[in-house]
Amino acid sequence: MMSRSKPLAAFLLPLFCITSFIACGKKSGELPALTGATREAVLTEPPMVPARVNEDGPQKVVVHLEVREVVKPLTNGATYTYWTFGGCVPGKFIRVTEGDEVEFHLSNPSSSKMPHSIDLHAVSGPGGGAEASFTAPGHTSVFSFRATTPGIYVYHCAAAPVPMHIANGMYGLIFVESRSNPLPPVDHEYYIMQSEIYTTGHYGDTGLQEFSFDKGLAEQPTYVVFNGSVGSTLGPTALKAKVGETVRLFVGDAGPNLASNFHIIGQIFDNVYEEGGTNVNHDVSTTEIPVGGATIVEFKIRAPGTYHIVDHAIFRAFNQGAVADIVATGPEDSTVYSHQQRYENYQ
Amino acid sequence: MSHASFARSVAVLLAAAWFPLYAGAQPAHPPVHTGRAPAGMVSIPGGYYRPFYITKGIDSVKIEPFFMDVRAVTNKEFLNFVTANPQWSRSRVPASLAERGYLRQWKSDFVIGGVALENAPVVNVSWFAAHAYAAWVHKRLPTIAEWEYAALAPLRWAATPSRRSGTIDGEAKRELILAWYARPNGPLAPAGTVNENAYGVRDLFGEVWEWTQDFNSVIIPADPRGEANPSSTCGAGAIGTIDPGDYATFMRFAMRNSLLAAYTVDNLGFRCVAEDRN
Ligand SMILES: [Cu+2]
Repeated sequence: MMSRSKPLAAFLLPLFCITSFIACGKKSGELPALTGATREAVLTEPPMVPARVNEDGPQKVVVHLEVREVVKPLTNGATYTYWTFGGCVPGKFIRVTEGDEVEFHLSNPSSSKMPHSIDLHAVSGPGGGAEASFTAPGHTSVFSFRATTPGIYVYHCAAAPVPMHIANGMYGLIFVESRSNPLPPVDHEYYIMQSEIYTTGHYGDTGLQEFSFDKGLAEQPTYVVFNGSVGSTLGPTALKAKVGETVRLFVGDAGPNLASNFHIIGQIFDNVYEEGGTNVNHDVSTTEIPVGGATIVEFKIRAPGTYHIVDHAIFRAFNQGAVADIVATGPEDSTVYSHQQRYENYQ
Repeated sequence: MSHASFARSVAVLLAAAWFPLYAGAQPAHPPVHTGRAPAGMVSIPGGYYRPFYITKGIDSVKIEPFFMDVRAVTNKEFLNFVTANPQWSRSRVPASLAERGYLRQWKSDFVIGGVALENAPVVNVSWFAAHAYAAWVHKRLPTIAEWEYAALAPLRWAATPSRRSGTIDGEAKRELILAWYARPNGPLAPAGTVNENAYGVRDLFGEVWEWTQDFNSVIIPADPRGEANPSSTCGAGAIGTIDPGDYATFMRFAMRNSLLAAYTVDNLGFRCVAEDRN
């Protein structure tokens, strides 16, 4: 998201070249030389995000990701057979830096029923890695790509039938951080993805729920959720912050069908990295995230309490599960928010 | 009631009615014996199969009558083959013909280790091994077209106290199959106890994937969002398939397409067919 106009690049060029020539020529197709160092990527389960890695220059980054077909809770009393990248939904968060060479190992254990693959939207190349990573149960595929372009990107399985693999949970985010212009430090970084689940049963039915092709095709989900299940990020697992702290959310929309009208009730985003690109908008209340897209939002917690993260297409939040919470602790400041001051008869 | 919701209701009812078969109970119907099929096989009448992926403009394949094994080949049967052909034992089979996981569910080269396992479909066999077995029993592996053609038949379901036996077809059958494909692997039921169809063939769905003779002949792209036939015009989606809504069939083609002939997989077995020369 930090790609620059040419004049700015020209201005900054000498500065970079003092230490290294890493960021030069990104848009011209030249790739910076690797430092020769190799590191194993640290992957995190939602809602956590790996820490930024400060290294001298572009490295080889080895990513090991295992596909897992698992039965997990969908909502109270209901379970679903999730197909996952790393055992969690969304899949594990991958963080690399612009220019890194990513050596990707996708493993499909022999206990799996299905072949799987991965298409990373951060890849420049046909299929985004899907063909190179198509893997039968009991096998591992290895392929490499250069993280040429900074941004926040969705990844997902692209094995047939693709909509079912995505609907069943095979998606996640990969963040390619700009080397020349990394995101400013914040107090908290979290990882959230919105998705729909299509079941033959109704919302709230108990027991193992089965995938509904009819509902998927009709784009009429049974559930709309954050981080894979109803209540994934509520109560004890709500996101946490303190008054005065800054929060950054990496937010993706896996679909498979519905774009998100992403909103936090009682919050205004100070910064929105629109569609994960180079435009940074300010003072936004609701931002749209397309299916297969992602964005970054930043905000400061100014008052204590519980903030509901919702899809503001509000039936989805009220009736289908699209709610996650941030619980903020700290001192009240009535100049920021007073709570109810009076309650009077009116007639 | 719409057609779709009706079919869904039927599917739910039938899935419930079908459960005893999933649980490994004996099917309600004995296999169909036409009188001329060899023991353990049934006759599949000839006809025409419309390929799922239409390539080179071929939209119909003639199927000659053939005999198909009623059930998947079991561990016990495969042990007979290995005993008679010890070059196919675990420790002697070359890596080029079978991966390291070959027959890994067995205790050792010539010991299966457990009656339940003996009667379960053999898995972790390479295509080469399945092919050699078929030749040894004077049969062969089915082609994709033959397998899919036989699999088009409606399924039978067992009678329960509250309903008569019957068949399940169309969307309801599709949902039943899809539900199994969407579940993680569990323990295998004894071969020949799952999902009998109208020909009397069992285990085609709900047990294991099965090798076919020409498993890798349909060159569909590993990235299925493109077209099936590289020479046809480009498009997104499942261009080139006759029914993009048939997810169960997509899964079988995806699975076949992910394989190489030496691969061994936990839920991949096989059955044989033979020519019907009558
Ligand atoms: Cu997948």
